[in-house]
Parts: sequence; structure tokens; C-alpha cells
Amino acid sequence: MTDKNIIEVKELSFAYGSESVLSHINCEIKENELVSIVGPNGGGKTTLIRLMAGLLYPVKGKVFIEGVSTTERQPVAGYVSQNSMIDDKFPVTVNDVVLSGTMRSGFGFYGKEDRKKAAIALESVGMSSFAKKKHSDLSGGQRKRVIIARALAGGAKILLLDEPTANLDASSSSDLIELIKDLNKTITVVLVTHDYGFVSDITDRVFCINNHLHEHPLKEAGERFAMNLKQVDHTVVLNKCKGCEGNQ
Amino acid sequence: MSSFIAALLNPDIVFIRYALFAGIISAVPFGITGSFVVVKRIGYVAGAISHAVLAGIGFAMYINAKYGKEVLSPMLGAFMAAITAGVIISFVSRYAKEREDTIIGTVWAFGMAIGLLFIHSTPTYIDPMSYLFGNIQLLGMFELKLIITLAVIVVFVVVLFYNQLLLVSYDPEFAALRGLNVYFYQVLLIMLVSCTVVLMASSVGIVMVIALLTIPAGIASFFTIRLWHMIILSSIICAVSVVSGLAFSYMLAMPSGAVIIVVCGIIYFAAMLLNAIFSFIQKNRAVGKRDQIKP
Repeated sequence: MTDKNIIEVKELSFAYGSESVLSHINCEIKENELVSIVGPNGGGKTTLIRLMAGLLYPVKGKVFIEGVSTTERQPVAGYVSQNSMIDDKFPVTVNDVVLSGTMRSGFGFYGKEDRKKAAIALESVGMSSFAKKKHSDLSGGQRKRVIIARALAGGAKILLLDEPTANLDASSSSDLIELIKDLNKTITVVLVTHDYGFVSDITDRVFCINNHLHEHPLKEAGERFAMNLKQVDHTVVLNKCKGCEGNQ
Repeated sequence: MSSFIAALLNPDIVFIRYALFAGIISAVPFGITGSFVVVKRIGYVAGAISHAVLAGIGFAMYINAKYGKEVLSPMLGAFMAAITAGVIISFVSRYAKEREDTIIGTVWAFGMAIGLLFIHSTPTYIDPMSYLFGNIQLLGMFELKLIITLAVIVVFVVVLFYNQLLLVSYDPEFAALRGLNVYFYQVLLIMLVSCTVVLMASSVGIVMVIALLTIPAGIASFFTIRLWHMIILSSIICAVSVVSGLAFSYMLAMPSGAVIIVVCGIIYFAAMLLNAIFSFIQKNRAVGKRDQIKP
């Protein structure tokens, strides 16, 4: 981790119509930091990560990625949504998916350099041997790896992962967590999760979102999350955190 | 078959050569856009465009009859109507926030109704069956030139934007993340469908052209894992269906459109059966291997 802020959120507010989802959010995330975002359902976790990605624009305030407002730059290519949107019947191979990470606007074909980047990205997630397989033939965990490889092929410096372990079995989750830990050596990772065990294992900081944002002190959060490993109901955590209580 | 070959070689029977040439030329754009239509599941959009084409054909017939000469070729009228229908579906569903199925249904029925009203108002008798179900005798040199032009445009545009269209088709959200104008490519695809529908509207008719757009691509999807493989196979199947359909229709003195689609349908069911057999064999082999590994 370095001291340089790669993501800065300043006085951010967001609403869907008249319904306020996020109010006066302020936070900074440093280069190569791993930050988890937790909170109750409907608290605004996914909205915040999509605002960071540049897929949504703030109603008030700003999000800066490497010092540039998301309203003035291309969206963050490292965003990985909770559900892969690729249709199961779509005829596309793993290599096609990863190559698309190098896509530029305009027209043209993929060059040698693009193919090289895709091969390196696939290698880094341990999926090289699956390059020629149909994407829909992969398991849920393998698909997540491929989508992460796609982000890496595009040279993403930030990975924004929305519920990366959702719908994965324990073994696939564990493998994916190892991969994220490994990637975090060179890349900033922000992830939304309900998996509190996951949070306590690998994260540098924990943000709790419920319209407002507050930061859990890591040790406290780690202990509490460790205690509540099997209790996925966030209210348990809320009751034990002064910040969360203030949020309710 | 010999009678069909003899007809092809007969210098006095030009319409069969035109129809065959149009069918082979159209097979490539049909394979291309048909594959996109199938994988994006927008067959209903293609259906609305193909039916709305009757408005353009009816309008062309009406003004031609009114002025007593060919002012507008029915195929050109069909092309204008197809583009208009594509533009309406694209823009209304995005900007008017209407439900997509409602606007598609409206364009579908409204286009047909306008076409029938024009045909009804035309002073000379027109048999709408030729346009609804196809008639290869409707093809002339002008139509052939228009088919070649549209086919070249469709192939050129798709080759140029293949990777972008592929990404927008399977993951529009990531396409937006990469800075692509997703809406532009979605409209472009609908415009390509509009152009393609017109290519074979005369030979197989506007009601059945949708089958030629979806069935060959559907067959190809059983045996391919990449879109461009699907496109190539689909184009070949489309060409085979059109050529054999034309041959059978000539030999049996039956409507060309219907015979082409029946040939296409038979290939589809045979391919489905073949695919099911392959899957069954593969499954059994996998189970056999697993049982061998068990102690």
C-alpha cells in the first residue's frame, strides 16, 4: 500500500428519484489498499461501488479516480458486477471474453499486443488452460476469474468487486479470496460483501454503508466479524458498532 | 434436378438465375445478422421490421399505379419502410420509455395495416400473396443490384465493427465501461437487420423472411462455440436452403418461399436430433469414465 489516494469520494449524495440512497459520503482509498464495504441490504453498497466505477453519476458531490472526476473520465474497467451478464447460450470463448478487456472505442481488430495482454491476464488468474473453452461451460468460480482477467487485460489499476463470492461454494470462494489477496499486491481492491469471514481475513479497512458511511476500526471489526462468522444477518453487527447504531 | 439445371442454363428464363444469385448473395448477410438476432434474442424485433415492410411495398405499388409508371420500386419502398421501422423501434423504446414489446407490436401491426390500406386503395389489382409469401418472379435487374449493394454494406459494416458488436451483444455493461457507445451499436444492429430483411423479402416473402433469419443461425448454434464460426456455418446453411428450396420449388411447381422455409425447417429438426444424440453419447462417455475411476 502507498500513501497516494487512488479513489477520493467527496460530499457524495445519490438518490433514485426522490429516494435518497447515499448522503454526504466522504472517504479516500489508497493505492494497493484492500477495502471492504459492508452494510444492510438497501444500504447503498452497490450504488457506491457503481458510482466509483462511473456507471452512475452523483446527484451531489464528486468521486475522483486518480485525481479525475468520474464525470470527466472513462468508467473504471475493473468493475465486476455481482451477476455476470453473459447469456449461458452465447457462443463466446474464454479468450474472446478476456480479449474484450482490451477493447477500445471506434473500430478495428485485436492486435498482437492485445492477445499478449489477454494471455498474461488469463495466466495471472490461473485460467490459461481454459482459453479455448466456451465461457458458459465454466463453473461460477471460474467465470469470476475470467471476468477478473478481463479487467486485468484492460490494464485496470482498481478492481471494484460487487459480492465476488456470492453464489460460490466454499472451495471456490476460498480460491477466489486467495486470488484477490494475490492481485492486491499490485492492484487496489474495493469489494462489496456480505461474507464477513472474508472481510476479516483479508481486508485493510472496512466501510459500513447505510445511507451514511462510517469506517469500522479494523481490529474491532475483525474481531466482531470473526465472532459472527456464521451470522450473516447484518443487524447483529449493527448492534455492536457505535458507528452503525448511529446509522440506524 | 435436371429440369432445374436446364432452366438455369436457359437464356430465356432469367428470373430463376436472378433468384438463385440473390439467394446466394443474401446468404452471407443473413448468416451474419441472423446470428446476431439469435444470440441477442431479438427475433421479435426482426419480425416487426419484416412485417412493417408491407407499408413500403404498398406505398410503392400505390404511387406507381397512380402515376401509371414505376416511380418507386417496391423493393426500395420496402427498404425505406424497414429503416423507418428500425428507427422507430430504436428511438421510441429508448426516449419515450415505452415498453419495448408494446412498440414492437405496434410497429408490426401498424406497418402491415398501412400496407394493406395502400394495396386496397391502388386502382389496379395487386395480389398481396406474392409479397407476403414470396415470388421469385418479382426480382429484376434493379432489385438484384439493390440486393448486392445492401449485402456489401451489411458485410462491410459487420467486419468493421465485429468485436464491438460482439461485446455489446453479450455484455453491454462492460462495453460501456470500455467507453463504447452501447446505444449506437444497438441501433446499428437494428439497421443491419432492416437492410437484411429487405434482401430476401421478394424471394421468400415478408412473412417468412424471419424464418430465414433465425433458423440457419439456430442450426449453426448447435455446433459452434464462437460467434464467427456460427456466422460462417449459418451462411452456408442459408445458401444450401435457398438453392435447394428454389430447385425443389421449380421441380414441384410450388411457391419458392414456402419450399425454402420447409427445407430450412427440415434441416433444423434434423440438426436438433443430431445434437441431442451427440449430447447423449457425450454424457454416457463422461459417466463411463467416472465409473472407471471409482474403485
